[in-house]
Amino acid sequence: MKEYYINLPLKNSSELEQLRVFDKVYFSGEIFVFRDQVHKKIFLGETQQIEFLDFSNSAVYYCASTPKKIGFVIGSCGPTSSYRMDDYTEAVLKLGFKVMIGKGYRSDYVISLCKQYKAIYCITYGGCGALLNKYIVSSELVAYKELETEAMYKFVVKNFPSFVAIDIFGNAIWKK
Amino acid sequence: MKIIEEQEFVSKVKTLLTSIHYSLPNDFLNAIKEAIKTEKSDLGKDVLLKILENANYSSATKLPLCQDTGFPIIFVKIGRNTCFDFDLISTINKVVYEVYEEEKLRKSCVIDPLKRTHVSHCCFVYTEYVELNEKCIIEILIRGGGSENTSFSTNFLPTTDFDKIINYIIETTIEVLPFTCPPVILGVGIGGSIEQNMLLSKKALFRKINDRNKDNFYAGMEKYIKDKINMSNIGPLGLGGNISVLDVFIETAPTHIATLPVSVALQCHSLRRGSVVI
Repeated sequence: MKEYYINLPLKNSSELEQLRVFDKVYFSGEIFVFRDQVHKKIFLGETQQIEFLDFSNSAVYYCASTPKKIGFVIGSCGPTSSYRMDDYTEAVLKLGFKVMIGKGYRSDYVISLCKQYKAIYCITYGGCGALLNKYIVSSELVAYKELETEAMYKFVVKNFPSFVAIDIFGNAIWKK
Repeated sequence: MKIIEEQEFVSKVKTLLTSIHYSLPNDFLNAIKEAIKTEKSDLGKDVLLKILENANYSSATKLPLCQDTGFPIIFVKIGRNTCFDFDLISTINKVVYEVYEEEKLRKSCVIDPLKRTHVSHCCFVYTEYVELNEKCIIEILIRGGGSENTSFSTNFLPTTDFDKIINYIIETTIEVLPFTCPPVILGVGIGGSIEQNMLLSKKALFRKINDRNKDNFYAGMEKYIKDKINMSNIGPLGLGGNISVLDVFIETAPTHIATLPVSVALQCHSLRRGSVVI
């Protein structure tokens, strides 16, 4: 298990080649934040609202935070269970995403997609939404405002902690 | 006859519902501290330490323990010489909405489940009359999506062997555990009518850590299920380790000669539960 500091979006997707399952990765930079309903919209091609955005070499964080509290840039902001996004994941990877961050195991299908698209899946501290607030520098609403809680946001993060759970070689922590 | 006034009721429920989102129960905190000593995996230990750190940070900052502020399920236990000078259910609904808005807790519900419209707050209230004299007890458990999605139930034949039932509980829990946030606690409902059966498993989650079933047969079963699941190596957050479940609580009820319903409510480590006497 090694430790890496990675900036997002990736300068070059080859940066992911060094990472192996169980490595600890601290992410800094921009991450897109969306979950179930935005995944479904992307899958169904309802993407007019995000056509102007460049997702290449980006990260998606499966999260819907609590509203901003005074003195903080956002509320509690831990990950949601990733398996619910499994069937929509290819449509998201096709947009250029290379890093997925969430919690919990995922399907064999997602493992094969990580191999095919040279993408990784990372697990962060589920149920620790207060603590993860520390790593968020800013938050901005990006699209799908009508989804309210589940709208798409962009966070700027600093040393956001996670563990590689699926690497680009198709290894998964639960297959060890 | 004791008349509970709206003002006192609202103030006490508000205080409880607010504090629940910023602190883990003491018995549970102690169980996590114990688990840190017995967890053999470094990653598992790291996660358990983060759970404690998160609880401390939540209490200090009033950022909710978990972003999934879910929905409260609320049990109102009413003593038989007690009545209310207000509409109980609508007042509770109002208190929930107010606390969730004032504390900036997430709107985690949709009012229409299929159309997924009207994002808002919601809660579920169960009332029962109990042999208490002039008082009432409010018990609250916050349920998040991960815990709800992984809870399960089934009907066995009345002739099914114990072993088969125990194995079903163990194997199915191991299968779903990685999709919620372990370490969990398990509430197990055995018997009853089918709707009561699921409720039993939720009510079981109010028991404190190490509070064993009074019947030795079920107490033994609780320990056995816990030990077996902890051999699965799923560990905290599924990252591996010997601490996957912190405790198992079985509750039973009479059932039909033809039926044997069994349900299991998983509760993630963000255990937001509490009670207040009014």
